[in-house]
Amino acid sequence: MNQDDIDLIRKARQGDLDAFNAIVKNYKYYVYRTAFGILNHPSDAEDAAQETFIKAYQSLSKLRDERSFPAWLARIAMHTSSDWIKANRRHQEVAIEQSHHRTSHDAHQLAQTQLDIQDALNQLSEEQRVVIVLRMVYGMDYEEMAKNLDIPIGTVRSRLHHARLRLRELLGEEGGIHS
Amino acid sequence: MSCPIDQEVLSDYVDHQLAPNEWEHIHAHLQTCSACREIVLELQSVNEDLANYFQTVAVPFAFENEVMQRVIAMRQTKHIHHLSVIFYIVVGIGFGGLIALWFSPWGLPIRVLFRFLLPLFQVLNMLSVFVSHGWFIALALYSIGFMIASFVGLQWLLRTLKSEVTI
Repeated sequence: MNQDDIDLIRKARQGDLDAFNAIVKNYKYYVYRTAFGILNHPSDAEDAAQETFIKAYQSLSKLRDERSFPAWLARIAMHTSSDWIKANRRHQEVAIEQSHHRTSHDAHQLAQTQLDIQDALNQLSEEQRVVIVLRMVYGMDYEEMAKNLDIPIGTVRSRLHHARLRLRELLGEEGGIHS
Repeated sequence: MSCPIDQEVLSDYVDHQLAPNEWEHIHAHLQTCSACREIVLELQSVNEDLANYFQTVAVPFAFENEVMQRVIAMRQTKHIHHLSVIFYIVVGIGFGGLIALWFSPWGLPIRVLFRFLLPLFQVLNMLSVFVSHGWFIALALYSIGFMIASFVGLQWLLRTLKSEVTI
């Protein structure tokens, strides 16, 4: 995390809306991808990502150490997305809204692969999706994941491993990416 | 699989979550064990596909604008709530003060002053009798004007708040 972001957080905490806008701009990819990875539905992910930033804005004053902001934001995004799943079970449906308007053969294959992965992610448990997102979107190591999820490192390791094995199995069945 | 290596260790290897000596040990093992090598390659492939997948997930258009609109709206609501609280506190203090003046010993000087001013009020009352109903008409016109001004002012305030929210 760079000094600019730390300064932005400090300013936003004092009520500077431009600073908060810059934070949203800098972290929107992480937050949206976290929500999308867990919910696997574009509009739900958008709502959950927006909700994450609103919650972050409301409780920014409670953040003690600015350097822990990315992990703190990831935690909010995870909890918000999990709560979203509990509130409405729409994520079970395979998202078909995402557009893959490509014309070339390669692009079509890429789009198909993306859909296969989306479908495979949908078949993982919520807990497995969360560890996959933390690892792949935030690049967290096992220790950080364990700390954020408040679970032992062994559990993180096991969840991640089983999630990958399941994905390998599912993607193999789809015959998309490994063929 | 007959290989004694725990599969979870292969995941740790792919994620670079092993101590350097353990990593070297597994790395050397992979040179000789084709079964483990195959698993590692598949796990790496899954990782690569996931990384590509998440890279292509695009944030919806105007996402930050929508977030900021919600933040601004939330701030405005909070300000209005604070102003309402202040208003009720001031009204409460005002009424409380009046009641205190009326009933408490500290209000005695005011009550005395009021008694002195009473003849003046009586003169004004006589004046109202003198001008007949004109006094009431003036008061009614003033009240209506005041209400219209308040309503227009309130509408203007709401319009300003709305336009600030939608910027």
